[in-house]
Amino acid sequence: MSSPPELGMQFSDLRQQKDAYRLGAWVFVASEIMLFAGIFLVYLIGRMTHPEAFTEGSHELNQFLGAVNTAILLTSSFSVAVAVSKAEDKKYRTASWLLLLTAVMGICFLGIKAYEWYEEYERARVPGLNFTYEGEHLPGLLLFFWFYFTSTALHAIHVTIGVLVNLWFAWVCRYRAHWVPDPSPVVLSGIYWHLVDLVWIFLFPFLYLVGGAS
Amino acid sequence: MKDYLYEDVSLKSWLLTTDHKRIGILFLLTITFFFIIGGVAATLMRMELATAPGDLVSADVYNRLFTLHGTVMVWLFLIPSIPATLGNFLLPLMIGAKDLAFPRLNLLSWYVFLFGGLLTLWSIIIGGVDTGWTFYTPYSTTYTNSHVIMMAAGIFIVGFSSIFSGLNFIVTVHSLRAPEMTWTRLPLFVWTLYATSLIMVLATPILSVTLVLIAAERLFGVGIFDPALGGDPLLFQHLFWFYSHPAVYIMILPGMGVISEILPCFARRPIFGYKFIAGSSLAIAVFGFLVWGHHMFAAGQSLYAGLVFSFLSFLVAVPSGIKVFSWTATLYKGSIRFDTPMLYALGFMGLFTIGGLTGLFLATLAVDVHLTDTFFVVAHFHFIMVGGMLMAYLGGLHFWWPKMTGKLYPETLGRISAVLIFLGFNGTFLPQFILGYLGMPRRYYAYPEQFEFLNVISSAGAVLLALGYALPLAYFTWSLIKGRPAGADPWNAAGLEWKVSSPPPHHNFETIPVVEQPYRYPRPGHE
Amino acid sequence: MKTHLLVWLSLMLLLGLTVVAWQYHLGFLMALAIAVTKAALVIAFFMHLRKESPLTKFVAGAVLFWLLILFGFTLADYFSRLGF
Repeated sequence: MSSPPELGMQFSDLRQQKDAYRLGAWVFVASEIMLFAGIFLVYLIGRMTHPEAFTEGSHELNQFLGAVNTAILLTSSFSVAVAVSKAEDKKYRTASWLLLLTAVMGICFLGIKAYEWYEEYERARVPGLNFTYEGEHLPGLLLFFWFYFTSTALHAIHVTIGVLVNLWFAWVCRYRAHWVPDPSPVVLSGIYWHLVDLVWIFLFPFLYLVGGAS
Repeated sequence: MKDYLYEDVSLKSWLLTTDHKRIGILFLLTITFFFIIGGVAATLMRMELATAPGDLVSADVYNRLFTLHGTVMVWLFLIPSIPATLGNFLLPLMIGAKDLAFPRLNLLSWYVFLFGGLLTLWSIIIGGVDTGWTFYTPYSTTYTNSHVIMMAAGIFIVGFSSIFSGLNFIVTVHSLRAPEMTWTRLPLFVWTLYATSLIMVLATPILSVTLVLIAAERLFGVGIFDPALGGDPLLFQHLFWFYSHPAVYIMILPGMGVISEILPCFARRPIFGYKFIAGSSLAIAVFGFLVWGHHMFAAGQSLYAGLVFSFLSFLVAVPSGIKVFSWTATLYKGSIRFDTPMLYALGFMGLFTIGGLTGLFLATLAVDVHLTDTFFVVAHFHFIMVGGMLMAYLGGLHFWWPKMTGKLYPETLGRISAVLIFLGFNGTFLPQFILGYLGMPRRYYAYPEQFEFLNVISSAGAVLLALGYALPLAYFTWSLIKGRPAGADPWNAAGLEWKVSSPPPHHNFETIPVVEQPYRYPRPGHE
Repeated sequence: MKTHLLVWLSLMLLLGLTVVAWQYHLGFLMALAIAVTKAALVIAFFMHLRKESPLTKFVAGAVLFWLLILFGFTLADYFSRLGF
């Protein structure tokens, strides 16, 4: 009995391998969700302790660009979902284009995010770098901006990894489709990208939409 | 067919191995190294406490010693102890698999552990940390000048090793069981590893967040925990204990699994209440997440939260009690043999019971106010973590040593070590219950004269304990060279791991193994 | 494809809704409810949780349970101690 080359020696058949990968991806997602949950919990306590400061900090952010970025990320999640179903139908060429599109949207997201960071840097709002503020909400505002930079940076790291993974599978699906006779790896990278999207779905209102429009 | 040890003996083949058995051995060597470091710190502390005045080390050095001891023993020894060594080695063998589901992730887990561990060690070498292993704020974030950030970074990295192992174990148990290995035939050790993995995957990320927050407050002066900056120190304790209380169950559940394997084998009786023991492992893992507030009774959390956490803490006693009763019932009418693993297992049962029951004292709100931060607490958790987990770890190591190395250790010396450790442990920690009850606080390097007598007994006990630990280190090493060959099944034990040769071949099983009911003792056709 | 398109449209609609809710000062709980709805849509349809095995659903349910523990118990202390 010869086994297919993509089958790991620890598995007895491809179905078992697929199930293991799928479960592994979901357990990984579970762990990641707990990581961001911890950050959100601290955010919530900070916001309850310093409501005015968090509102003020939020108003200093660029709501328009934040919303645009949310739209981009939601759309990229859509395109990766379609890419995965194309890959599952063995339509690797279409899947490749959609994965490339997803990666491009991820890069746009990062570009806009970087521009926003630059805006906040100009306004002297980066803790540890140039944070200066003379108003009455000092500890709270520092906390808000620390959250803002930590959570968006952590998220941006995830986006960057996701972009690289998407580019990689776009290339594989286009030129090395025989490497993925079973589309599982593409499905897994899709799950990861959706996770990135999920986190942002919460970050957007938590950071940009505090306390209502001024 | 060569076994896994001699299949390829080059250093490279060890450093790049993806064989779960070899990775188990790598972890064994690494955590033994860290255990010795933590043990040296403990020895120095007991030497300082042997006399009332602070004379051997300065207060500052003493603070660094107990921090070192706690950090190294918790994160670099106990958390990985049974899961990463025995668990790694045995899990695939016990369920009839050729390896874990993600062998390369498993190797990565070791490298991450090693890197994080060495970083922690480096923070100790360049001056150490004086906050205690709990890193309580605002002291750790605002006041101390020690190397908190570097140590936190080390522990942060070690956490990922834990997550990787947990993920690997969960997926392996779900998807790699041999066809006939149903959930109700799963060895109880596997059940406890599964429960432990749940905690590792779901709780460790919160620890990572907490450590990052400490670094942020230290580096940027962000007011998260320090009330002077508008933060809340209790928030730190919530986050820290959300991880660290369940982590206590990481440090006992696998031990319970080992005991459930040893007892039936040496009592020649099937385990009593298989389903109850399996279920109670999961129950402990879940309940473990609902009780973290009992670390904060005296810290100023709300009274209502305290009441709820106190009540829930009592609930943990139920699954723990189910286990102890089931083990005892397993022994009933057994034909018991007192080999070394069994002596360790029996020691575990006694010490764990004492540790668990004194936990109920501490879960009682009013009593806890009296006992918080005294030696009573120290004694209590050492009964669980050393009397429980370390006894189980050594018992398991003796039980499976012939399987792992193919060699027998000297049985008489083994029994002597088990008895020495049991006596030495009680000598060290029983007096500490009394000291704590009388009001001796923990974490002080000097104390009033009236506590000296009990402290001398405790230090004397520690000498026995140290001897007890040195013995296995010596005869295990000796047995590698001079030990008699063990054969596949020296204990005449049930379980798939005993069906393969010792040491096991590279890919464990040539053909898919036949699975029988678990714990079929006495062995039909063998006795 | 059709489902995916519908889900994407609803997500964009919800994004608009959350911004409008912000402009009309509908508060944190409204924003949270919308975010949870969006997340549920992504998980159920984009990540195909609906069609996944019972085991995967169990993992998702477990995370939800653990989130409730983390937030529930911690916030319970805060509400009963500081009365936010």
